[in-house]
Amino acid sequence: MRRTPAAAAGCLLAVLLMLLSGCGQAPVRATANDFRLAGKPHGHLTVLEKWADPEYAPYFKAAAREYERRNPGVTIDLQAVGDQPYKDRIAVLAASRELPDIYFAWPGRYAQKFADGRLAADLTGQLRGTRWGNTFEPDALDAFTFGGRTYGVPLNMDAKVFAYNEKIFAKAGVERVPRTFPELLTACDRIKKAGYTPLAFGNQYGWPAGHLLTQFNAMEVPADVLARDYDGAEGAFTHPGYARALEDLARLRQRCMPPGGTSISHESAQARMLLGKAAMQYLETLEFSYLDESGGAPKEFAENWNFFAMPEIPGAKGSPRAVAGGTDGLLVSNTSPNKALAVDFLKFLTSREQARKLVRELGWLSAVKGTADAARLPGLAGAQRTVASHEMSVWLDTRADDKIVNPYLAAADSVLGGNATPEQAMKTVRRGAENARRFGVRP
Amino acid sequence: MTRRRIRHAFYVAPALALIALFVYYPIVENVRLSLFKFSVFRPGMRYVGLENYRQAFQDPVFWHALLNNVFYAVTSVVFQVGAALVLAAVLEELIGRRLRGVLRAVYFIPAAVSMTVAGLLFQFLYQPDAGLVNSALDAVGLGGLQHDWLGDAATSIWGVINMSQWQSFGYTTMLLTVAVQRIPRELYEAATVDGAGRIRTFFHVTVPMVRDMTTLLIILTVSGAFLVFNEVMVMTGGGPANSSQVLGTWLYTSAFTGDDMGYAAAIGTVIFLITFAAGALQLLHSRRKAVAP
Repeated sequence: MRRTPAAAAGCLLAVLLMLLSGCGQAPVRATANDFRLAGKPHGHLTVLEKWADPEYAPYFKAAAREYERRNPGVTIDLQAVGDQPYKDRIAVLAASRELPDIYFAWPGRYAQKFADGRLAADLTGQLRGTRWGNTFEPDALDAFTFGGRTYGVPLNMDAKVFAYNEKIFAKAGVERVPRTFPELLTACDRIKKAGYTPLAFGNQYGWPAGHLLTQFNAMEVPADVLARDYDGAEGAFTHPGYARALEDLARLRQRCMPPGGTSISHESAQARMLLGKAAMQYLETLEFSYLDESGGAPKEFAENWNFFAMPEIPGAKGSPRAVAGGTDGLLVSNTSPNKALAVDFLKFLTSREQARKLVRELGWLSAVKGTADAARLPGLAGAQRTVASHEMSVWLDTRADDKIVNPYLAAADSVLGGNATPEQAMKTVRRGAENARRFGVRP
Repeated sequence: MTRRRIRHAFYVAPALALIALFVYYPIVENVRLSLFKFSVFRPGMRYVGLENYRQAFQDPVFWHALLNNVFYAVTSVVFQVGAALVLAAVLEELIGRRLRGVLRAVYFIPAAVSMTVAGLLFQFLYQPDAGLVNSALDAVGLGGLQHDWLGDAATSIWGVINMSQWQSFGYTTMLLTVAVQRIPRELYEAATVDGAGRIRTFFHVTVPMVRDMTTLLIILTVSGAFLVFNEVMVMTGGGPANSSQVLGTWLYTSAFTGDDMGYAAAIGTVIFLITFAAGALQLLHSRRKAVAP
């Protein structure tokens, strides 16, 4: 009996050693890149995306049902989950190499991870120089192109702008839309004096500050430096533009945001603008539907709002026409046995007919050319012009190296909270980038 | 005898197999994974030995998260064991039977609220401009103390800890009330005859006689404090500036935002070692001091 604990410990050690020497990650069993349909479409498709909001989900369900109706031999299992649950779920599915046939991806490094890991099918032959490919805005396709190969089908485009209440602007004596960043700050001063909160801002989960930094970094830092640094290159984030970007954020905090704090949600902050308590909010063009009466906005606001992109920052070294944003897209699993069917469904989903429906029903900007005129929402045509006339700078949190994102968002939090100067915050970012290199996952 | 043993082993085997599969195997597998660097998106794992643990020791957020867990544990033991025991004794000794029942229900209700709902509720209470906490401070002339409780790095974790105490305090009070009720009345009568006051009786009769329950609660609250996750995710997401990160949320962030699965596994191993050590130490300590009923 006395030997039992020793025997158990021995067994445990043996199991441990066996495991140590044994299994690694499951291999990626890529299927042939054959996108030709043999006869009429038939088979079963699994789709996982992140448009679970009750305003958006019916559109995608209806599209899947319509494709099934047109192709009686096809069944589609469409699942939608929220943003963060999507990130968790797709990571688990990627680890087990059991990705759905079609899945959502944000642009930038987020999509590139799937491409680099051979988890996304190479769609270059389908999308470059083809009739289908030529229907997309070139920038939208570029968002999913890595090393000259295209891996994603762009669906919709999104940009960050300042929505504002025209009546409050008029009452505060702000006669024209700010054309420079100092003009924006002066407008904030006037609005504050008129008794309103200039800029509604809720940073509960950190990403709204990340979006502002995406914008400021793109304007303050040259594009090539930015691309190198976001990639985690050696000696990254030493350009003085980064500290200036955080200074811009601090100035916006001080002169435009409410003094109490920023720990409320983005949606709560939006309610303040809709109720006429705040003059502006920095929001996504995807959110325009919430500013309309059909989306729940009060008539008083819905009839008196407009928007403008972040105005130029004098003396900044980056792109004066930069706008924070991104293109959402769908990837085809490289292990899917139904690649041809998946591509056929994606062709249907991004057909001109469906794209116009997306613009009309959801109030989104489609990645398909010439669809903006289908918009019912006021402002969407203007948003299309803004996107076309600006350079899209992809969200920092999907563009930068994974291990840089957390220190960067934390640095933005510190500056917003007044707990660190921009220089101190950049030191934290540089330390994060250094750690990303030292302890990075990449071989 | 041997046949009897085999029969016993036969009955025990399914439970053992399930425990081995769902408890011990994941622990061993987690330790194994903590010795590798790998991404869920890329094929291949790189063996790095103890590199992930070295990374943890050099990571200021890891240490900050660990400190937050310690704050959580200490506060939980003080309120959910210490103060709850005092309340349980007061309820049993000083409060009338009818009111006692009502108060027990009042204290217990927060424990029946889901953690997510409680987190959201406290988020509203803590809102910087329209929240009840700041409004109440203003109403009693303490407007100067108004604060962005969850948005300030100095107070965010305390906002979460406070909510957790509110939610669990009544539950542990109920458990301790049951333990206090089981103490033979003769002991109290003897103490009274010997001239002991209420406070002395509490420390020399009540506290030793509920040692089993307090030991159990200390183990549960300490290990619970190191496993805390939901309330932090719901209320602050670990922010601002990682100020309210705890080991559980930092593990999650490292795995699903940082895509550094090996590092996340190393944090998981550290959490396991801490909770295991806390449990083992407490059990050893209580065995030595056990009081026969």
